[in-house]
Formats: sequence, structure tokens, C-alpha cells
Amino acid sequence: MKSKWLVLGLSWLVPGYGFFVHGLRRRALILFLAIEGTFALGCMLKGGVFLPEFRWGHEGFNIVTLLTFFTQMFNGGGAILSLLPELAGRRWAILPYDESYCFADLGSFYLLVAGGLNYFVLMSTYDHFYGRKRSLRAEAEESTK
Amino acid sequence: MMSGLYFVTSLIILTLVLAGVYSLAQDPFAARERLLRQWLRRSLKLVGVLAGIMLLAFFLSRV
Repeated sequence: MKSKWLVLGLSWLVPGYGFFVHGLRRRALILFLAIEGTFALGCMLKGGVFLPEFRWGHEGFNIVTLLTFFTQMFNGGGAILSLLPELAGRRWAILPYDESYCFADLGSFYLLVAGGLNYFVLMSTYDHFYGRKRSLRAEAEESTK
Repeated sequence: MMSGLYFVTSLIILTLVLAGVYSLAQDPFAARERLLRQWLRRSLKLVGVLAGIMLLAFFLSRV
């Protein structure tokens, strides 16, 4: 069995990986499609993930932007792809972000929801396979025998 | 008009996806029928709340 932190790290990058590696393959696929589908819709609406202003005294500092960024970052793989142009330059702009597009904000909201959904899945992976709800799995396996 | 439709449709789609992923994440070992029932129940509740807020916003905009 792979280490807990490796599985959680990969679940962060690829939604549903934790479920997949623990044998819930069909459910992992559903989670993956639901989360990445939401992310893809956000990208089609030309939304994006951006680095917020972290300096407290700066005029661009905004708690809503900070919270949005942290929530979007829970969908690791997609969020990193979306952040690439800001981190590594414009030639890495794989996703179609366009701030001037009328639905770009709505698209970014989809990305926010995708991040929030992967947060649920990450917490569930930890709880059900490594944490306090571990015993439920044994009960479920017992009842199917 | 069209943009409003986009926003409302998005809210409904995201609510359905949210309810589905939340139900699956809450109880990953549950039987399929139980998961579907929970998904439906949560979706209806959330869509009901959304509809209430939309109605409230609609009537407040007329005042």
C-alpha cells in the first residue's frame, strides 16, 4: 500500500485518485469526471486561477481574492495548469483565459467550485481510508459478504 | 437576458454536481440506490433554497 501522504498528494493533483487506489474505481472515475468536467466548463468560459496579492498593506490585498485562490488551489493539477502563464510566462498559456470575455468571472467561479469539490474528496479520502471513519470500510465489506 | 440565463443555468448545474460529489464523498461505501436517493434529496433541497432566493430577489427588484 502506498504511503498516506503520497496518495493524498496525488489525490490533490488528480481528483479521485485516493478512491481509485483503494479499489473504488468506478466512483473514483465519477468524481474525476465531475470535478474535471466542472473545471473544463470554467476553462471554456475563459476563467482562470491567479496569484493574489499577499502583502497586507498593498492596495490589491483582498481577503475574497485570497480565499478564492486557496479554494481554487485544492484542484491541484488543473489549478497549476491555469497558473502556468503567471508562473512561467505567456508561452505556457495552455488554457484559454481571457479577462475581457464577458463570462470570465463565471468561468473562474466554476474553477472555484471544482477546487471546493476536490477539497470534499480529499477530506473524504483521508477520513475513510486513513482517519476516524476507517472502520466504516470494514463494516461495508462485511455487509457485502 | 442571455447572460442571466447563463448564470442561472450555471447555478443549477453546479448545485447538482455539488450535491452529487458531496453525497459520494460523505459515504463512499454506500449502495448505489442510497447514494442516488441522497443526491436527489440534497439536490432538491439546495435547488429549493436557490429558487427561494431567486424569487426573493425578483420581488425585491420590483419594489
